[in-house]
Amino acid sequence: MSQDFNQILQQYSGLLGRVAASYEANHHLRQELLQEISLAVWQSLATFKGDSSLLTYILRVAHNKAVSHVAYHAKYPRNDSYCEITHASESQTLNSESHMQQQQQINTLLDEVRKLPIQTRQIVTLSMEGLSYQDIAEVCGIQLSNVGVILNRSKKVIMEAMAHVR
Amino acid sequence: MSDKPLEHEVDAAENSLNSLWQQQQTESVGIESIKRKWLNIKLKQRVYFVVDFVGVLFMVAVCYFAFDKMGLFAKTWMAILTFFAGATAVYFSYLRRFALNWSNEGTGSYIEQLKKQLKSNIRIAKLNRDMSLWMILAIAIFYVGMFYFDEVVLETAVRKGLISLAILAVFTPPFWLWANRRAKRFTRELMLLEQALDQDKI
Repeated sequence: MSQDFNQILQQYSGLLGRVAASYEANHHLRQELLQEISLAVWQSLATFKGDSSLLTYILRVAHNKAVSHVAYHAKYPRNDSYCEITHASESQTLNSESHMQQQQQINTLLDEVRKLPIQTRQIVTLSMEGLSYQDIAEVCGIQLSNVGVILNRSKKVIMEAMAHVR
Repeated sequence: MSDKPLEHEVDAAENSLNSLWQQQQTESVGIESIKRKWLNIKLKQRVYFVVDFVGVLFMVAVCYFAFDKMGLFAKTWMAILTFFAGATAVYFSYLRRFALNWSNEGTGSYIEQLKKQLKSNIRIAKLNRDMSLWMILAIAIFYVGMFYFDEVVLETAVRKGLISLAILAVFTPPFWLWANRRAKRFTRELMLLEQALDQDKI
C-alpha cells in the first residue's frame, strides 16, 4: 500500500473513530472494531476510482464493516462485566467543570445514538458529520426523501434527551 | 406565545449537536498494527486453504497409488468421494475470500447481502455437520459394496471396515460438534442482525 493510503487513514482517523463509537460502547470491542474498520478502509482505497467523494466512499466502507460487527459479536456474551470501561475518555480526568459537563453531554449523545436502529443511527451520525441529504442517501443506499423524515424524527428525540443533561 | 421553537433555534441546536459530536475523543489506530492484522489474516487464510486441501490430496494419493488394485465398485466409489471432497474444498476456499471482505456499496444493499451470506453460512455449517454422519454411511456402503461385488472377501471387508469406522469414531464427534457450533453461531448472528435492524425505538 502506498504512503498516500497511510496519510488518508491518518487524516480520517477521527471520523473512523466516531463511526466505531456509534456502534460499540465497550472500550475493548470498540478498539477492535476501529482496527477492523481501518483495515477495511485501507484495503478498499486501492479500488477507489473517484466515482464519489473520498469521504462518502470511506464512510460506506466503514459503516458496512461496522454493521458486520454488530452481527458478528453475537458470539461474545454481552455481559457488562466484560469491560468496565464504556467511555474511554472518562478515565482521562478533565479538570474544568465545563469540560466535565461537555463530556457528560457527549456520553449522553453517544448513548442516545447507540439506542437508534442501525439505519437511523447511520443517517443521524452522517448528518452530524456534516454530509448533505444527497450524500447520506448515497451512503445508506436509501431514497433521498426518506433521509429528511428519519433525520427530523430522530434528532428531535436526541435533542430532548440532551435537554435533560443541560 | 407558542412553545414551538423557531427555525433558527432548531438550526442552532442542530449545529451545537453536530459540533458536540465532532468534539468527542476518539482512539486512533497505528498503520503498523493494521499491517500486522492484515498479515495475520492472510496467514490464517493460507493455513485454512492448506487444511482444506490436505484431505483431498490424501484421497487423490490413495486413488493414484491403489487404483490398479481396486475393483470397479471401489474405483467408482473412491472417484465419487474424491470428487465431492474436492468440490467441497474448492467451495470452502471460495467462501473464505469473504473473510477478507469490505464493501463500498450502499449499506441498505450491503445488509441484504450480509443476511444472504449468513443464511448461506448456516446452510453450509448444517451440511458439514450432517455430512460427517453421511460419511459413516458412505464408508459402510463402500465395504459392503466391495464384498457384494466380490472385490474383497468378507473377513477383509469387516476388518478394514471396522478400522475405518474406528478412525471415523475419533474424528466425527469433534467435527460434528464444531460444525454444530458454527451453525448455532451463524444463526445467532443473523438473529442479532435482524433484531438490530427491526428495533424501532423512535
